[in-house]
Amino acid sequence: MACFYGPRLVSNVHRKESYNLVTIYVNGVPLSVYKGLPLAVALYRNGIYGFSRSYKYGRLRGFYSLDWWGAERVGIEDGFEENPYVLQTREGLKVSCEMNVTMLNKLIWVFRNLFKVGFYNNWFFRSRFGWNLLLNTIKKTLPYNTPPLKVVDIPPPPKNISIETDVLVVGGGLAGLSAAVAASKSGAKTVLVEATYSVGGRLRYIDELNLEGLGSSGELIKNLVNEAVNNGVKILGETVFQGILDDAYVGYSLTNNTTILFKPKVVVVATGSREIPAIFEENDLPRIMYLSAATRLLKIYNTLPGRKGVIIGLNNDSIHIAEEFMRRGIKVTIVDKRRDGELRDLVEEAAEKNIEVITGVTRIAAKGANGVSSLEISVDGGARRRLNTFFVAMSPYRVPDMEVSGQFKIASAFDVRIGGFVPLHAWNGETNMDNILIAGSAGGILPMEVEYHLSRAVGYLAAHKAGGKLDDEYDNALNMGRKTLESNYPETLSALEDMDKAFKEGNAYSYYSWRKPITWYEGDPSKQFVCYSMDVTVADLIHMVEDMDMYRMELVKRFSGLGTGSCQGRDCIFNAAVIISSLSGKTPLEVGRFRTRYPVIPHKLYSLAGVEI
Amino acid sequence: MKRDYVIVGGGVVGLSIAYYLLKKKPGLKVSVLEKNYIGYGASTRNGSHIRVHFWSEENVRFAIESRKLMINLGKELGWNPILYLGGYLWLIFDEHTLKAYEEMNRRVWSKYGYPVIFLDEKEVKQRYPYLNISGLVKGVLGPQNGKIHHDFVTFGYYYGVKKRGGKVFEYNPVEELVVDDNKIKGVQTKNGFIEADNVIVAAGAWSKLILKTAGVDIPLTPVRKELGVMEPTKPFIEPLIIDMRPESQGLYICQTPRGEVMGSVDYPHVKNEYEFTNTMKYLSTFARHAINLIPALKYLSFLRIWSGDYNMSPDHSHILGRDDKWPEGLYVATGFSGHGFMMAPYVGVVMADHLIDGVIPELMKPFLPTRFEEGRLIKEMMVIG
Ligand SMILES: Cc1cc2nc3c(=O)[nH]c(=O)nc-3n(C[C@H](O)[C@H](O)[C@H](O)COP(=O)(O)OP(=O)(O)OC[C@H]3O[C@@H](n4cnc5c(N)ncnc54)[C@H](O)[C@@H]3O)c2cc1C
Repeated sequence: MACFYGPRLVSNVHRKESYNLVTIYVNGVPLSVYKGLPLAVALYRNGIYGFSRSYKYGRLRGFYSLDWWGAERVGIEDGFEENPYVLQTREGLKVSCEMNVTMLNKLIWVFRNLFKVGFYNNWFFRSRFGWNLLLNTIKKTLPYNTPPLKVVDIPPPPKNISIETDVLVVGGGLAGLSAAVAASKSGAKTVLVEATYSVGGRLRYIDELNLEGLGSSGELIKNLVNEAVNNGVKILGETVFQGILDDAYVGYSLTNNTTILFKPKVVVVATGSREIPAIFEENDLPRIMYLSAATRLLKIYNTLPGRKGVIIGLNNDSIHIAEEFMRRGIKVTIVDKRRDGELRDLVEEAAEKNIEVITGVTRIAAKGANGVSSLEISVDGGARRRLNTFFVAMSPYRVPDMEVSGQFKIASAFDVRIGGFVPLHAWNGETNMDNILIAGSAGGILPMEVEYHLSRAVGYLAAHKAGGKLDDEYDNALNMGRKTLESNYPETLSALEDMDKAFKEGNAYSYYSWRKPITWYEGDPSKQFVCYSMDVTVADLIHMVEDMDMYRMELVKRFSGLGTGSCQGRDCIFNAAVIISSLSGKTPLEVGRFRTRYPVIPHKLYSLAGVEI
Repeated sequence: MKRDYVIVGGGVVGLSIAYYLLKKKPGLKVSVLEKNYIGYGASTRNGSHIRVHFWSEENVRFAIESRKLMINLGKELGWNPILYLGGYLWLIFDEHTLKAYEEMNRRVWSKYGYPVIFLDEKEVKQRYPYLNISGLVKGVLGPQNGKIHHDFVTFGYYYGVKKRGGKVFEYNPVEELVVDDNKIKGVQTKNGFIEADNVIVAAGAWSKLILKTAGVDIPLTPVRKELGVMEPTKPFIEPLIIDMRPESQGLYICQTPRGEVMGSVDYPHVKNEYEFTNTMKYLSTFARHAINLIPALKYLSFLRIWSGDYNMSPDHSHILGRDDKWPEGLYVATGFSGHGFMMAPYVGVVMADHLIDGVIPELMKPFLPTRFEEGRLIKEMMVIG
């Protein structure tokens, strides 16, 4: 296997533990931590749960996602900002975190109703005096670092790397691996890029699932990795595919910030899916995180998220992980907005496993000073009751990751059966762009077995489009996917059929059956955060829809800033669309999504400066 | 229902014209037709800068009037324009250019009450310690210039039009200007025919295409420009900085009040001007020059990039009004050549006067479409980006 300078090649599923201790300095205070841990995890282990201040209200915030794309930032020595998940602990690392919530911040929060979106349009802030006062306050209090301003000589930036291949697979989850194996088996030169340090995607954490006809999920991934390696697939770990420009297919190494220019014949987008927040009162408190983050803490970093937790969202993942939590001595309760009737199978399954479940929860309010300490809930609008908890893990719904496909001129459809916004594509992954295919849940949430089969078909097709012959297995894989859907997942089947039809007719289509979004709980809307980065609340959405007759996402984005922070809309766009839809009576498709802009994650200027093109 | 005025294009210019028409004569039937969402064109894609320092007296005077309106837009529209007068700073590295600036300052800018300030290298370094400017001849600071929020101005006019009874139709592209007997009859849209006495084409980079359907050809070239913002820092760059070294390829950099550094460079013309995609060429060229000028940008990261069109006219100046050879009732407000956002308020005012009173306001006269045939070009050289 060829070796690349720069991005690391991976073939392992699990991370090696390091038990070396190093000293890091947080705002000058020394902390002894394990070496090579993500900073956010190291802080969590040391009881530092909130490490930044929010943009507008100055609320103390911790991490939500523990992901390479996460929007959280901390300052490092030279005054610049880093993602505290990507940033790893090392001896002498100095970080600065804005943890002081000032009197002004607290006042603004108390009087938050005066500071709703558009507040600067009121007569006072429009006046010369009021505006200058506000402008100067904003400039002084923005929760960001100032870079060192001294003019220094800059060493020449590192040059980019170029990689030529037949098929480029983006994403090393089940779909990406399956596609890569199929493509390489058909003889195509295949490169797979994966943003984290190991492949397997979600199945790294859900590794004991029994998949019909395929064995356990963990085994399946291991076999796929072996097959991929044996067939010569090059797997680049810790490398983010940033998107496609007119003149380049761009990758970005997280380990050393090298820019990579790919020259693929065909691209398979297999970026998978992700969780989104549940919308409830004070859903921004530290220790409220995605279920995947809590899982990662425990399973990868051997760190207890807490002894007591609440999971929001009853589904296969949450049951599976609740079991794991319980095995590790964590008390968990799963709450869900839907009623028993809608969730019968899952409720029964949870009961069998002795997991406490509360369904029909209509209202949730988180309480706590510097982190969540309890949830106040009501069931069916009844009396409030308090659940004491140390952490909250959110998994109310999964959506496809459209950070790559959303950049293209691929129309998006909306189908709530498969994750809301989806890029319009055919059964076999074809899009309206000749050399771009979509595989797996990146194109709509699929059951794992189906994902495996259909993504293999996409892989065969990719190899064919890159100039090889179409493997005989292609039809077989498609059929297996369809058969599995027919016998076990009729709802997903009809969604895929609707999409396939819409794709062939060239129409965006919409399927929305919710009366109220299942991710949105009752409560004081001014305390419910939709966009964490820019502090946009449900009250802001209500103001836009009801007082300003504004419902289109492109306008909502520009007026409120929603989606313009570091996460670029990943966390908020689905919730915003369904909430605006239920406020305005428009369909989520009419509300729409704003165009995803290049790049997938922020790309350092220094790295770009070295690119020769 | 027959409309008095149909405006093709829901950008800041079209909306401003609609607003001032309705303000001047309440009760007029005015419709704005937009093929996407309002502001889809350059109006939500621009750098949102305003300045008065142009090279030609005509543009200077026009821009001064527009600036006055911009600054008071909060009162006028109830929308805070998010005014931020950080100035423009031109970094000049050769004596020849400096002479030209000094001459302009004497002859035009000072005359109208907007002189610039000349700063020597030491003063520039004192005020802007983050700049790497060895070899600087002079910095030219136009403190009267700055930034205004482009989206809010566009929204302000949009809500103003609606409040005054105008109609704005989004997702309603005009396919054809309908002309009969050398008179405009209305427009054919995707959703049907709309009858109108007067049609004003304010369709930005698409104006040329629309005008062709009425047999009118005006010399416009859309040129795609890319722009991007970096992840925010605490604000430290006050002015819009323009690096005049030829090797810096027209580099300009600024920072928004919420901390996002933003900027662009000139780079070779691309073919697909109506596809708002981006290039690595832009990213890498900008990164190189930006780090050279402000080494502190070394670790900043591009957060989001996009592109839009400069709608270039032969003399880099806007085209307003009509040519008597055109079908009766057809007007244009286009060709803004990269500075239409700042001109939009005053364009609305003069166009409303022109359309309703039938006069040609003095400051509008130089901008008529007939100037190309008549050889009365405006000498405008200050296009930024
Ligand atoms: C990158 C960039 C930076 C810039 N920076 C600045 C700056 O700092 N300061 C400044 O003053 N100016 C700047 N400009 C220029 C400024 O943005 C434009 O001059 C200005 O927005 C023009 O407004 P407009 O309304 O004429 O055109 P647009 O905003 O382009 O509006 C035209 C509208 O017409 C619509 N349309 C097109 N065809 C049809 C049809 N057939 N039917 C219906 N509707 C149609 C389009 O969808 C569009 O919304 C910049 C431009 C760019 C691209």
